[in-house]
Amino acid sequence: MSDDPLLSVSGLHKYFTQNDGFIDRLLGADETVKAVNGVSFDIERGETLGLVGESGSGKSTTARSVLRLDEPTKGTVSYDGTDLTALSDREMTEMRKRIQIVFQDPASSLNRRKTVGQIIKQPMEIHGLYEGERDARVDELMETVGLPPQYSNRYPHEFSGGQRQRVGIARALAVDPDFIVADEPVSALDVSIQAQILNLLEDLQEEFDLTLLFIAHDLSVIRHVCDRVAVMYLGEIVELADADELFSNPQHPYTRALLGAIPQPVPELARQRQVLEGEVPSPLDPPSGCSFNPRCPEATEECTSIDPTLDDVAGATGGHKAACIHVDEFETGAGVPSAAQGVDERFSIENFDAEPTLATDGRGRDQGRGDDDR
Amino acid sequence: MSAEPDEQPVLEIRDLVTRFYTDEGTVKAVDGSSFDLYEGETLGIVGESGSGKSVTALSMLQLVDAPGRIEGGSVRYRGDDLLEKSEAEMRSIRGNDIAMMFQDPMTSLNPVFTVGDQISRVIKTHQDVSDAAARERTIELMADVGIPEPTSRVDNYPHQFSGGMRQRALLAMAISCEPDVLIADEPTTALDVTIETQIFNVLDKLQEKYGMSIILITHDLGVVAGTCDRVAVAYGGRVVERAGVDALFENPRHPYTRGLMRSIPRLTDDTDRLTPVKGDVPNLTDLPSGCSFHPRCPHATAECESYDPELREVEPGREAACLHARGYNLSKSALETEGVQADGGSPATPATDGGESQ
Repeated sequence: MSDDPLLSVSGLHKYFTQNDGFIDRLLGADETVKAVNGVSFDIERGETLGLVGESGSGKSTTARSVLRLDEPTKGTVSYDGTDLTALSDREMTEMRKRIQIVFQDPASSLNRRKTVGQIIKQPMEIHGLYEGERDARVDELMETVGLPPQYSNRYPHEFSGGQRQRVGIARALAVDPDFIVADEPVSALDVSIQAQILNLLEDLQEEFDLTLLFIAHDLSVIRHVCDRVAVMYLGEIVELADADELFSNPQHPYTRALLGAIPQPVPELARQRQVLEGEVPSPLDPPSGCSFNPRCPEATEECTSIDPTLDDVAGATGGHKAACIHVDEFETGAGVPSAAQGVDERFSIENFDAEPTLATDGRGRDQGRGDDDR
Repeated sequence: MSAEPDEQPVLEIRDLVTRFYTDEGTVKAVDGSSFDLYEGETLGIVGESGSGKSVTALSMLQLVDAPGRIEGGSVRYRGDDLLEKSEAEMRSIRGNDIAMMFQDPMTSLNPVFTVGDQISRVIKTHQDVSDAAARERTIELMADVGIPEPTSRVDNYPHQFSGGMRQRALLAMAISCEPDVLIADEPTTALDVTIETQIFNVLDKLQEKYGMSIILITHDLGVVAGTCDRVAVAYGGRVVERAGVDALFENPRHPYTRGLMRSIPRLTDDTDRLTPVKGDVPNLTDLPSGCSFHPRCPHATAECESYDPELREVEPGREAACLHARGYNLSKSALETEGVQADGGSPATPATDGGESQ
């Protein structure tokens, strides 16, 4: 860890108060949902931190609180030395030149009444940037994200899901930010399109020196994109480690269970998937002690009373942290085995057995094409 | 488990065609789809959006509403063509012989009735039983699908159930008449992975207990790998590859299936670079000529732009719809009969540079 992270989140809390209405308030029947409950992490310059968890884990709320799209209840968010939680609204707006977000659903996060050119231009107008060269910059940005610039007069509905997500990314890049939060950027996309967007994000990160906070529920996606990973459960980080380390040597029982439950696209592995019983408890009524204890295969009596903190795992390297009183010594294994043969190799284009009768009997491509024969 | 190919299938779908006549044009949602379902097996239909997989399922039960129309093909259920049945006949088949379970547990349950009421109603629609007997059976079914404390939860409303529990309730409803065939359309798509695994475990147990044959419609190759015996891969409104699950994942024959296998991020593989399928999923109002995958296919040749390959056996027990798939022995003369001029002399070249000959 360097001493100068780009983003440093410390003791972040976000509580939502639920009261169903006037009567509840009168009776004082407020219920507090601790959506984010004391989260701390750093993001180094140029790295990608993955935030992974099931629904209700608080991963999106964490990101929204970092950006102050939801006001944090408690805690500090230090961005390049500035505490974002202490900024006035105007100062925060200024800061948003440097911090941008890409949303999950490109269909609903783009204004359908504006052309994509206007959508991409808008952040520059808001921040008063690139005066006089905005149109040129829109074209350039569209090219950067793999869209033909001549489409800038079209509306979002004229694009496919993958293309709309490219528009969302171009919009985020428009103000030339240092830091981008990507909130489930590929989960609404088709499988064959996901890879295009993930590769694009990777390229852009390199080209523009971006630092990324990448939120996803899909651990396979996280594995490909992230340098480090934080696993969240019920508003808390339960494990934090380098990506390779987390996938090969997970320490927390929840991370292990999550990895074991994923059906992998390999039949012999998928059939062995492990069932984690139970559901994520209601954040209105979290379990006492460790919030994972009701579902945990390793849980003991103490787990119902002791709320574990996220601590360095003894004997581990690279800042591997876990929040479990039963993790006292680093253990290897328990993770995902690495495939013996790369997928690329097995299903490669070169490996495709072209039908010999078409390739070798002297026929092949016809110059005239069949159209006129029909 | 895995069915013998020489056995009589429970369901035999041939050349199914369903179109939607919209203002934007004719949507060829299902464009000549063919597959079989054998006794006691789980068949996966896997495809992306616009592959026509959900409309295929709806068409099988004649559940396609205007502007959609089933325009051709046959759906033989134990020998009888379901497409020739009247609405009254279909009503007694749906739920009873062939049950369907939909994607979204939020909208498939009625919020103003208790979960127990909704399951009981299905039972009473198909069986002549008393209210008390239906309620008892409902509680039994809720226990079967793993809903805890079914005797009290039977009186809960849908909003008192979590997403996973609602999906279990839908499953209880679908199996309430012990159907012969269960069609599950993306049953876990809205759920977290740990809940998804629970649901598939329940489904496995139920299949064993009731001896159902299952059609599982999904976009997730991991789900297919873990749950199915055989797989049909759908693209552009039809099935482009059929195989046993192990064979399919070991060595996919169709370039689209291979492209999917390459492009999915895998837990076991940490290469930074993924290999996407180029281009976009096709628009069903305007499918490409010839093989509908050819604009995205790295192996496409000039023939692929005009010849529309049908699904053919490429080795015993597996089929593919690609001129260039190994084992797809379409002779030159057959191609010419089809009106595809295939004489050129040069070896097969990718279609990317075949465009100039237009």
